[in-house]
Amino acid sequence: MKFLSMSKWFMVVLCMSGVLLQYGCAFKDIDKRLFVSAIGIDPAENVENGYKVTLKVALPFGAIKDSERPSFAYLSREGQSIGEAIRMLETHVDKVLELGHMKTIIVHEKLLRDDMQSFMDYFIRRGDIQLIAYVAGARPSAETILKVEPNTEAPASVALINFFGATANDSPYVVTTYLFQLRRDILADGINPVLPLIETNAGGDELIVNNSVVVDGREDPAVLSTIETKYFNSLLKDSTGFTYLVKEGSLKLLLNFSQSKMTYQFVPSKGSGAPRAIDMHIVMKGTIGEANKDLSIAKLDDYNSLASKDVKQRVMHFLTKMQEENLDPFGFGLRYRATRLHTEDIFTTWQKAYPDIEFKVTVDVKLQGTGSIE
Amino acid sequence: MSRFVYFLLISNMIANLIAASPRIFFAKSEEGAIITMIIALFFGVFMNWALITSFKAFPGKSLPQILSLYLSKWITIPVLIILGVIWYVSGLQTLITYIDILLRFLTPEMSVYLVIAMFIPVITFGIIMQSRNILFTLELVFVLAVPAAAYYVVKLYFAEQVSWDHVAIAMTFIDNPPDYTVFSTTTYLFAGTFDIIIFNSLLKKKMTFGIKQALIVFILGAFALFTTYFIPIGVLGFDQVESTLYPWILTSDSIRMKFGVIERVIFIFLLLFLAIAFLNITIHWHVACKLFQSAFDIEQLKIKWREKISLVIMVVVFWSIAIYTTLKVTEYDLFLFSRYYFNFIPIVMTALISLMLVVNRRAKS
Repeated sequence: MKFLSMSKWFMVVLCMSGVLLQYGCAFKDIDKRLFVSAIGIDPAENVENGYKVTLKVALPFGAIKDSERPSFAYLSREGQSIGEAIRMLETHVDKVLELGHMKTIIVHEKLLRDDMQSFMDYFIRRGDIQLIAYVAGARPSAETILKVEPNTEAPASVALINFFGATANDSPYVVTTYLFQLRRDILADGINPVLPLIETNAGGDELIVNNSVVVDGREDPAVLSTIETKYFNSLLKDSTGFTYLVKEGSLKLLLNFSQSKMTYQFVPSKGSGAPRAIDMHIVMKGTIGEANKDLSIAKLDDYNSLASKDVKQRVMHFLTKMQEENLDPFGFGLRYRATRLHTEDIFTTWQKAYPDIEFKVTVDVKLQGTGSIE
Repeated sequence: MSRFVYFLLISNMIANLIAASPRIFFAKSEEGAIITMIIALFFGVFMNWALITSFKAFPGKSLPQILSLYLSKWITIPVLIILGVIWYVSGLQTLITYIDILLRFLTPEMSVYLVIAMFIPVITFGIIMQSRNILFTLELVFVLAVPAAAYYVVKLYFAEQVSWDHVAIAMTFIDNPPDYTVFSTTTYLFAGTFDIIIFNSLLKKKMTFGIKQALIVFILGAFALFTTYFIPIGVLGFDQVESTLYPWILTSDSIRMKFGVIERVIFIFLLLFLAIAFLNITIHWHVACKLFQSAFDIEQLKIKWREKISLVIMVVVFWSIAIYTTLKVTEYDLFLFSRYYFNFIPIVMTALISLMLVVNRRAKS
């Protein structure tokens, strides 16, 4: 019995001595760290094929009351690779750069090409960078966008983060793309990732996010216009807050859609298994938000067909434009692969078929009311 | 079946979710992973049935006790030693994986020695505990950790981050011919029940394994397997999923809970699964320890404190090998060794069941 109690004591002492080894925050105190809130990547000016990395570092302050505006420091450095540039930036500051709270990666518009994979690699490989960080394109450059400090930015917050992820800004014009999602879509056959494009105004005190970029191998990435971004978001991601203006003669209607749902099927051509057409069905539900004339609730059906016709036209335009550019932001190719039993040439069949595929779109707008007045 | 048997089974399934098995599945994702998993699912349930049924005649007796009653020493001792090694390696494999994960994701700046040093006291204490207390610990951790772990896993199914198109693409590979490595890895998911070769000495009630129990084990297995395989594919994409080292860590890092206590699910996830993995290592090493003890027949030795001395020797040997391999093994080695190890499992299981068949027959006559 004596031995047993001794071994227990030994254990207790061992466990307690383990506590002595812990001195918080993985051996570096919080005041010895600098928290990077965003990273910007631009093409290098002086290094060939290199990158210019800009870090937006949040500076600590005593109390929120004391500080009227958030304070940031900006660090820039050019290097052959992202990792190298960040390593060198560590020598520019007196503290440890902490990337675990980094939530936004901003990439220069011109870098959104296929070689993205090579520098995105760094972010994935590092264990401490969040895979739920947002990735966005920047115009005119990532550095300019990072240095914008909007007037609406509150102390102890970063405006760039609030745009995405539907925690604060919920607009259908804002596309959200996470780092893991970008990696998944770049590596997958049959889908092109879409990134939001961040711009700024002439005064440099506002961030504007309402366009998006389709990433592909080409030199000049295709930019989706504001309207196309809205359609992309609401068709694929069911964003709410979709508004739509119908004009018919002198009648002007603003429709608010709260739900939109897209389903589609492939129509195989006779003989070969290649798809001939995509049969798409879109259902949208909403109310009338604004009108320049008196509306009658009995005439909802008329408004429905009016809106359907118009939405259909826009969707068709968007789809054919993407088809002409041979882009696939909706992931039709992926769905095609997912709905057929696997064969060796399934994806080449799709690639051959996609440029000539026919879109048959039916839009079903279901207005549920005219708002609170007739 | 006693509830503890379910606990053992589930703890093994959960610990494997993070360890080496998903990677093996993904490496074979275009070479018949799915059809093999379906076959192995039935095989696993069958093995569970065979094991429980073969132990039915011996309530309250562990495997070493049963073997020494009915078989000669020449068979008993090698069998126990082989089983001990198998169980030891099973714990070791989980241990190395988790140390690696801790170093990479939780505390990248910490030294590897310190991380090992944190494991040593807790697991050592687990090994030298009485079997009964281990089962109680198991129950306690289950009450604390599994509801939360289950919540997060179920939440994954409803996360918008999971792309079901990728899952569907993975399913289109259903018509490929089966593969043995996937088969053995899947079978290993069901190896938790085999811990009763030691813990049966505490399960005094006669156990039955009928349709109901088979259905429960089948559903548990199918759910664990589906989650292990398809959710990472849905999050990380099908085309390159085999290139990720720890698919489940990346998967949990990709999941965002907008209004959760912590937005990044990975930290909660890692801690929960770490608790269960700790337990799993403890159980396996405890079983290994007991097997070795009975193989060397320490009860018969005429030395003072023989039990304690044997335990001390065992713990020292266990940890020496563990520390040495943890420091030496690279990620690729680990993957390779795990594959070899898993390939053994169905053979060992079948051999054990056939041995029990012989013992059962002798016990009847």
